[in-house]
Amino acid sequence: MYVDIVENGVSLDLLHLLGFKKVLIIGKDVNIGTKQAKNLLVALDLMGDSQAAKLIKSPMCIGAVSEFSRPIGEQVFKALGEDRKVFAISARAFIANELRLKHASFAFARAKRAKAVPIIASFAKRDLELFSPMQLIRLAMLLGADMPEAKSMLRWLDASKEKA
Amino acid sequence: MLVRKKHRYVLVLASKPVQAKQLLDALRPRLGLAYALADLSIIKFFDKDLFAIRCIRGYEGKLIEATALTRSIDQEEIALWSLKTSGTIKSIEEYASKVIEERRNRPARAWDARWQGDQFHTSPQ
Repeated sequence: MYVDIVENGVSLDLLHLLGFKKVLIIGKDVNIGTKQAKNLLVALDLMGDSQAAKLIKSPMCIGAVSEFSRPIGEQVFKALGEDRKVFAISARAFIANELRLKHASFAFARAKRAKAVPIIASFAKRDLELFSPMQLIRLAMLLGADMPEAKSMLRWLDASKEKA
Repeated sequence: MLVRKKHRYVLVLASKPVQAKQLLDALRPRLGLAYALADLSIIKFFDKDLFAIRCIRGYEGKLIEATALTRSIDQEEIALWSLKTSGTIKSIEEYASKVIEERRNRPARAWDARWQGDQFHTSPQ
């Protein structure tokens, strides 16, 4: 079951047509920010590493998300790995330029080493920023994932259900 | 000895109608050397924005990557979505007819509204 995370307002029937079976809406199913909230993905670009690591350890937080405007410190991955939380990679952000792609591939390798759960999603604000599952798999492979890893980055909800 | 190269077909949906030449020109810089080796051609338009691209087997991954990275054609914003790859055009045709059918069954307003940036959308089944 391929999952995408998008902002409210993106066409759900287009997502369905592209092949996604489940869509998480930002602000409804997940929250992105720097303050405690239900199903929080900590926005790593908006805060320092030590502050982010503290927030990641809170029980309401499900993981962290980055747009790779800066490199991410080791303590963030350590905090994510301790509870096997999600490290969400914004595909929309890292295709923007080569420096972000470099940060993203380093972050992906570190997240894997720390035993966090790397995932990839479009985080699209509008329809034109969406990707199909096949495209997201190829973009995950650009970061250094192999094919099974890349597929599991899109099927992470299945894995978390099995764990529960 | 002549070696017959096998082909793969990729079904691509565009966010708006596009012409074959425009599209191949847009993909070229994204593919680099692979563009020459992949022997790309758009072999069939199922709709103005839905078409099958043929490439030499092994280059379909590069092609999917290139469609993901292509964000504009002739300075106009566009999105290209790869929906399916296959070794036969027949299964691509079947999938394309499913896509067309699904679009036809959807309320017209929802489909039109999407391309105009309207907030209207319907839930997936």
